[in-house]
Parts: sequence; C-alpha cells; structure tokens
Amino acid sequence: MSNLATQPRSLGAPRLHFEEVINADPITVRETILQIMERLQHEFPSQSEGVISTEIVLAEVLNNISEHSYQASNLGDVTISVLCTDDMISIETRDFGVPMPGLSPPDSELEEIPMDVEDLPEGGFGWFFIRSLSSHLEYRRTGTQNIFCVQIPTASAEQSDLARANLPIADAHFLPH
Amino acid sequence: MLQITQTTDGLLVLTLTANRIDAASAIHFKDSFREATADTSGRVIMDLSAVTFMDSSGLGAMVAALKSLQGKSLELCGLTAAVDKVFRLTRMNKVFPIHPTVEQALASDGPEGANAA
Repeated sequence: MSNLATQPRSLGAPRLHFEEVINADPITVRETILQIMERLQHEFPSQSEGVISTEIVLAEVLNNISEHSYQASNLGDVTISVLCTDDMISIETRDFGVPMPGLSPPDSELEEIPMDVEDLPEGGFGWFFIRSLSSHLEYRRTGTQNIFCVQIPTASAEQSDLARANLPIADAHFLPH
Repeated sequence: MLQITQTTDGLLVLTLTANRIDAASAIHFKDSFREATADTSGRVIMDLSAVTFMDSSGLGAMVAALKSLQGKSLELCGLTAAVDKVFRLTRMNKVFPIHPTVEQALASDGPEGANAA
C-alpha cells in the first residue's frame, strides 16, 4: 500500500474555485466548456473518469439553459461557479430565464432500447446524463433567477458506472484500484 | 466536418474531422452525413477517433444518421474515452457496431464482427 493512501485527505477543503459569466449561445457555451475543462484536467490529471463526467454534465446543464431556460434565443447571461475539493467537482449555474417546469429538474430514466431503429430516441439523453453522472443535484427558483447545483465525484465513477450497468457484483473484484 | 476517405464497391469509409459533436455542431453533422451517404448502397464505416467530446445533441445526431441509412447499420470506429462513455451509458453501443479501428473494421466481415470486446 502506498503512503499516499494512508495520508488523511482534506475532505471538503476547496482546492480550486472560479466563476465565469457567459452568454448562453452554443458557440460561447462550447468555448467556455473547453476553458473550464483545461483547468480541471490540470487540477485532476489522474482522475480522468471524473473529469470526463464533469464535461458531459457541464455541457448538458449549459445546453438546457441555452435551449430551455433562454428558449434558444441565444441571449441571456449564465453565471457558472466551479468549486473543487479532492473528491468532488461542484458546479453551480445561475440564469434569468424561464423556470423549470414544475419547479423541479425532470426525472429521466433510460427506456428499453427499441427493436426497430426507427423508434430509437434522438434526444432526451441530457437529464439522464446529468442524473447518472452526478451524486447530488439541486434546483431552486429565487425571484427571477434559476439556481442549479450539481456535484460530480472525481473518483470512483467507474465503480458507479458498473453498478448502474447492473453488472454482477463479482465483476467488481476486477475493478482497477 | 466529414471526409470521405475511401470508396470501393459497396464500401464507404467516413472520417469525422470535427473534434466536438455537440449542440453547436450536431445539425451540421447530420446534413454532412446525409450528403456523404446519399448514393451509398454498401457498408458505411465512420472513424470517430478525432472526436474528443460528444454530448446528448451529438448522440442524437448519430441516431439520426443511422436512421437516414434506412435499415443499414452504421459501423463506428475509434471511440475516444468521452464518446465511449456516452455510448455505454445509453447502451447505444448495442445499437451501433463498434470496432476499435478502421483497419479492424475493414478486416472484419461486416457489422457482425464488431463489439467483440
């Protein structure tokens, strides 16, 4: 066992915190994701699974704001705060678009894959990605503002992927440590 | 966006040159794909090794591309880690035949030789 593993980890202590305000159009969203990912890859060089998950979640959260909250108008500010600890990447977004329907994030479950290619879904994966790759999410409407928070574990994503794929427990022994 | 790298009788190999298939590029991809495959009748193999990121819009565009082939399969190669992840999470890796590389796709007899891993 390495010495590193026995050292106490500073649970919850922030190691990186930054905030950006951007316009919610697809091109700016893409550029912003690239910039944020560069910082996260630099911060977590050995936790690629958590960083990949964060890129997917971040893209879906910002797509939702651009397409639904601001209704694809390509106009409207989003404030993105990123806070990282050793174990968690937390993202908070704030925007002034329309509220989420029912004032709560949609449920999302993966449907059975249909037999006929024509029946395959061409969308609706966004919330499924956000929910399945995050350990915690929260939405609230404050005045005219949407506030959405989501947390992605930096490690052990592989483990939870396997758990979701309903693999037999025995397979877990073959996980890389 | 999409490069036709090889055409022989009944075989079309496409290379996606865009690095990101996302909300900003999904529609352009769908259009380019339809154009590139308009006259094809055989196997369609697409190399995704340059694609470092795909979101739900990109995945939806892949499904639309598959449907546009009207019953034929769309064989994919060279999935990078992030792309592989979205395919596995949505089980789309069961829908698209997936080969590690174009070379291995060409060496296989067709869609049935994929997903061996």
